[in-house]
Order: sequence, then structure tokens, then C-alpha cells
Amino acid sequence: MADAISGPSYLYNLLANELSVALYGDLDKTSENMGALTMMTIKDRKAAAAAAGPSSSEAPVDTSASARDSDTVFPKLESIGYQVGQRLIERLTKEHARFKDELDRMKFVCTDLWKYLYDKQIDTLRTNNQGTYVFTDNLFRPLAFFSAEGVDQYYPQSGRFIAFPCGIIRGALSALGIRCTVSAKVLSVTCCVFEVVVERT
Amino acid sequence: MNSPQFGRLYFVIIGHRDQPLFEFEALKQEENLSIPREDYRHLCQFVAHAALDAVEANLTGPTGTQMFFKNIDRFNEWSVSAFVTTSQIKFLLLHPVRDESQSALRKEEADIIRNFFFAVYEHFIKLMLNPFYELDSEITSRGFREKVHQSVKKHLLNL
Repeated sequence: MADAISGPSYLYNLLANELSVALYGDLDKTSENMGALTMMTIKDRKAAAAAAGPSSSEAPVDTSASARDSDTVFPKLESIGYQVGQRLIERLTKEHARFKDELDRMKFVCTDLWKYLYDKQIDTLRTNNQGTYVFTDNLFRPLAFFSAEGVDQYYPQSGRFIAFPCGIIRGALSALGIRCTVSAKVLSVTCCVFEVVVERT
Repeated sequence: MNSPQFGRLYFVIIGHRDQPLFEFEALKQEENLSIPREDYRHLCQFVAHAALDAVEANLTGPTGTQMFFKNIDRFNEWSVSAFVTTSQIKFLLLHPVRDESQSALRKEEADIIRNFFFAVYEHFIKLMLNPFYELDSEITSRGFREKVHQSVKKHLLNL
């Protein structure tokens, strides 16, 4: 499963776990080993350079925890991402000229915002010209360190990694004046697809 | 050439629901006000609110690509200049119109006001990045007020 010391995915797991703890008072059962290793791996990162640390051992997927997560933890993660997206836009568009139209704003999110967050741009932007946009990222950074083996086991867990970026996109577009809903899906090992549906008034 | 002197100023930041997020008045102490002090603020709010229509008209028109608009509206002796951020937060400045201004002085005035707006914009962005500041809510930060005060002193040569 996820390498315990990979940057963003580690943080997302930590964040989702903290929210689970705060809401339910117990750690997510699928990564209780990772929880025990938390202190040690942080020290390891500081001491050693880039050595691959111990990866968390496979535990059977706890379906009740993930179902619970999707009710309360994911919306919280998404709303945190919403705030982050709004504030980031204020900061990043300081020098930017005013946007011409909706597509221009989408392109800004795909290029400048994504570059700021993940050091790369979104690979494909498709639209049906009626308010639906699809962003495809073939190497989505938070998923980049997932191992390719046993991929089926991690799909139910992938929600926590894409809830926060969904929120960022929604917050960014809302700051640019576009009300929308954003959903995401993990298609294959590192490929992630975001679907943005703009509210039509 | 004398640098422009501003008499009474009123600066307001307006949020998405046309509500004032932050107000700042600059008055000269010894000046005789033709209207009582309490009404002054109400009048400023009224003028600023009325100017919002003009701001939005400019935003959607051919000049919609810029951030700073000078003298978009006028009321008696006040002129309103506006600055609109990407997320549609508006800064309005009410300043007295100078009767004897020639075109050169008017241009300098525009530069001065633009510099003031950009300075306040910097502070505003830093405030927005604060996760404890709820977006679109009233700005109660004393630090922000202090910084705006300093910007007014520095750019608008008043107080």
C-alpha cells in the first residue's frame, strides 16, 4: 500500500486519520500499524536521507470505517480544501489579468494552480461545452507512490486522497466566480480524473 | 508642483454580498465639517453603496480587464475610485474632487491612488491567507487596521 514516508499521500493519510480520531475517537483500522510507526518514521526522515522506510503492512480493508469516512471525514476534507483553494486563488492571481471567460478560468486552474500545487499541469482538459469539464491527470502526485501490486485493495481507500484536491478545485473556481460541483475518480494506479459540473443558472 | 492634498477620505472594502468588510475614515481635525460627524459616516456609506452600480457596469464593459478604476462615480464634492480583485472583492475610496486640477495633476492623482490600492491589496492578501479569518466576514484585525492607517499616511499624505 502507500509508502509510509511519501510526502503528500502520507499527509493525506495523517489528516484523514486525525479527522477519524477527532470524530470517532479511534484510529482507522486499516492503518493502525502506520499509526504506531508514525513517530518513528518522522525521526527516520530527519535522520536518514531518502532511504525507503518501512512500509505499513497490509491489513484487511475495514469496510465499515471507510463507509463512515465517506459520510463525515471526506466532506470535512473537502471543505478544508475549499478554504485552501479560495485563499490560494487570491494569492496567485495577484498580477494576473482579468479572465476572459469560463474556459480561461478552467485553464488557469489546470495550468497555474496545478503547477503551484503539484509541480505539473493537468494533462488533459475536456469539455462538452455545456458546463461539464473533465480534468485528467495521468500521474497525480498524491497517488504517485502507490505500488502497482494489489491495486484492487486500495481503490476503496483512494477517496481520502482525492477529497482534499476536489475541495481545492471547487474553492479555486468559486473564488474565480464559478459555482460548481467537483467529483473525482481514480482510474488506474496513478491516474486521476476530476469532473467539474458548473451550475447553470 | 505641490503634491495633491486630500481633505476628507473614506475607504471601504466591500464583500460579495455588498456588505462592508472594513471601513476607514480619514478626517482633518481642525476642519469644519458642513455636516455633523455622525451623519458623515452614513453619507459616506450611502455614496459608496450607490457607486457599486457604476463599478459593476465597468466590470462587464470593455474596460473589464483592469483592476483599478479611477473616478467612476461622483457625488457633490466627492469622487469615488474603485479597485476590484479577482474574486470580486471591491475596494472603494471616496476622495474630494479638486476643482483646479489640470490633466497632469489628475494623472499623478491616479498614480497615487493606484499605489495606495495596491499597498492595501498586499495587506489584504496576507489577511486572507490567515486560516482564522473567515472569508467575506467583517475584518476586525487591529493589525490590518494599523497597516491601512500607515498606507493612508504614506500614500495619501493625510493625518
